[in-house]
Amino acid sequence: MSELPNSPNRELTIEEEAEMVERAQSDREAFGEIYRQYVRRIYNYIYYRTGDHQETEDLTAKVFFRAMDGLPKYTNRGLPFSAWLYRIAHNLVANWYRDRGRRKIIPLDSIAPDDASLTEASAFNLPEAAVQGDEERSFLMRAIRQLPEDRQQLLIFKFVERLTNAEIGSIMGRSEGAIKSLYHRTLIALRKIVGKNDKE
Amino acid sequence: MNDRIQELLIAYTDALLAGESPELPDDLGEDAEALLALIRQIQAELRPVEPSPAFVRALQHELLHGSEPSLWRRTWWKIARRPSKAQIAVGGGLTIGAGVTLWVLRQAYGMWQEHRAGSAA
Repeated sequence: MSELPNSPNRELTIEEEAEMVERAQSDREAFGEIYRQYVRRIYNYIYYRTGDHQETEDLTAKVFFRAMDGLPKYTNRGLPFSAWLYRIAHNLVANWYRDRGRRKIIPLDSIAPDDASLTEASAFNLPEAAVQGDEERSFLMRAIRQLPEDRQQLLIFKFVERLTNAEIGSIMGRSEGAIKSLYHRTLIALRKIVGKNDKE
Repeated sequence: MNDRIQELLIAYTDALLAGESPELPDDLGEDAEALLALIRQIQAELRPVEPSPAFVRALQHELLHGSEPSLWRRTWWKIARRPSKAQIAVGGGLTIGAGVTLWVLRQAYGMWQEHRAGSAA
């Protein structure tokens, strides 16, 4: 436990991850391994969804407390453990936005696998400048936050978390091909938003 | 055509993120060029951030040795992380609040003393 918890561990294999989770289900100390493995990733995910370090710290703490409470009931369904953590984080971020009435949130569960529920137009119906973080938001970042949630997630997983398309697919419950297609549509939608914002 | 562009966008992004210089075909259209430029912008914008080591340590301690931080504790975390001006404002507010409370208590104590002295006389 002397290791700096801020240091991300190396990527675990599926088997190593499953063993770690199994240990943590009955041993609170073993939960520290999970925490050290994922805290930076969850922090990054929440930070890029909220744009505020203080809120990110609060929400990150809630994610891990909720995970610790729910871990005894966690069932390994062959998905990466991080998918479960990201889902908790997603729900908390959604609640956070809802509590503040800042913007419409689409629950992950309601997103159709083929993305049919999200049209290009839906991206333009979301309120502008949804997040009023304490830091200067860049023009592009504001545009990214106007994207539907699954598209924001994809960009975070790809550029911040540096996950492979297959990993992103397993977390988001889509095929690798669907992720590539979603990425293409995300870029087109983002380009439109940037162009639209540019004109205003 | 769409598949080709999808593959190109993914390959270009993966190469950029790996720190490589991606090779591009000569016959790229204007739209594809614009998307590649957007990818470069996103890469410049979305960079991993580091949580503060103090926060990571404190949360680990809370998780393994304590309970979920209380509202008071979370409020304190927020105050402690605020810029110094906000901390001064909060500190000033608390000081004024404490001063007013002391003044009220002192007045009440004085009145009680007077009342007691009157009763004894």
